[in-house]
This record gives sequence, C-alpha cells and structure tokens, in this order.
Amino acid sequence: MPAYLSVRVQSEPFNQATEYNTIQESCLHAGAIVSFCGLVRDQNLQQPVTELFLQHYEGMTESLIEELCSEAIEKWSLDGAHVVHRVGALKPNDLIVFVATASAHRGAAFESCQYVIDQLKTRATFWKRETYPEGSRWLDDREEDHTTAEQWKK
Amino acid sequence: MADSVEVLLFGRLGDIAGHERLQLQLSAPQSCAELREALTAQLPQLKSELHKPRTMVAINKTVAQWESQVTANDEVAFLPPVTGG
Repeated sequence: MPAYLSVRVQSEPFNQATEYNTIQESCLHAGAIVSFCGLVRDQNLQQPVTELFLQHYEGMTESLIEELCSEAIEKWSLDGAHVVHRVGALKPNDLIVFVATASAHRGAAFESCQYVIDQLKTRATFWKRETYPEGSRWLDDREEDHTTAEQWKK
Repeated sequence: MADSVEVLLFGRLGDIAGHERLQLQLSAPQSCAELREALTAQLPQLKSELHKPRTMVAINKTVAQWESQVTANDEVAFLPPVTGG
C-alpha cells in the first residue's frame, strides 16, 4: 500500500489539531506520529518583528517538498508524511509550518520528522522578509541550517 | 521576433533589480552562467547577490546547474539562498 503523502502551501492559516487529525486518520496502521510546528518569532536580534512576509516559487516549492517527503518515506519506510506551509504576510506567533510523519514505531517517526524540516529549511523555495519598526529586510540563510541538513548525509 | 526567456528574480534579487520578472533576449542557446552574465550586464547592481555561493538557478521549475543549457521560452529563476520553514 503506498504511503500517505500530503503537501500544501497556502496563504490561509491552518489549525494544528486539524492537520494532526488528518494524518492520523490517513495512517490508521501507524503506531507513532511525530509532529513539528514552526512559528513566527516576535523578535530577531533584539529587534521587534511586526510582520513576516513569506515569498515562494509557486509550483516548484510544492514539488520540492514532495520530493524530500518521498525521501523520508523511503528512508524510514513511513506510513505517511504531511506538510502544510503558509506564505504571504504573517504576524508574530502565527504558525508558519506543520510537519508530521507516521510510522510503525517512534524511532522512525522522530527521526523522519526532523529530517523533513531540516531538509525543508535548506531546499524548499521560500524566502522570508521581516518587518521591524524601522524597516524590513530579506533574511539571510543560517549556517547552522546548512550544517544540520548536511548531518543527514553521514 | 527575437527569442527570449522569462527571468524570475526572488527574494532580495527582485528588490535590487526593481522587478520580479523580466524578459531577456536569447540569441542562441546558452548556459545559465552565460544568462547570468547577460542579466548582470543589464542590471549590474545584481552582480554581488547573483554570485553568492548558495545562489541557485532553476529552469522551468526544476533545479539546474550553472552549465545547464537554456533555450527559447524557458522560464529561468534565480534563487537566493532559501529561508523557509
């Protein structure tokens, strides 16, 4: 039976509980589900953030996330993977991204969930622009994110 | 009518250029690297960002290499280092 795979990129807010229920109901043989949420922080380098704008490459973003989810499904023999990522103008404390993976056992679920978000951070075609009282700027990628993603190759 | 490609500029690149999309004339099939040079010739302020080590290029929504060939009517996107999640 093919694994469950759902990837959505949308401007509308999502509800974490609803998304969790969706993967649970779609992976009824799973013994473990692990999920991750990324949120908009209200400050960056001691500057208050008033808005986070997320740009993406429509069409390419979805297929890249599907690709890395498929990698996880194969590597850990998952029952399923589920990703929702918002784009557009977000406010502090808004949910940006939800990642969940389902597996027979918890080891695969924990590792694969981390793999998916670690890979998404360095491969998925999103760009963040933060707005502060004094102005806005496009964020730079973080060296830590690249190091973290590289670890999975070892 | 001359052949052209659609160029997309994401993130900071779009701000620096003042445009998120533009048409570039294509006299013959050329590599992404050559297209980058043509873009820089037209918009020199893009040079630094386009040459950052982690800047990537995509052809028709698929990740490409700098040596990959671009042909008429392709959609070529220049992608700054990504910051999603």
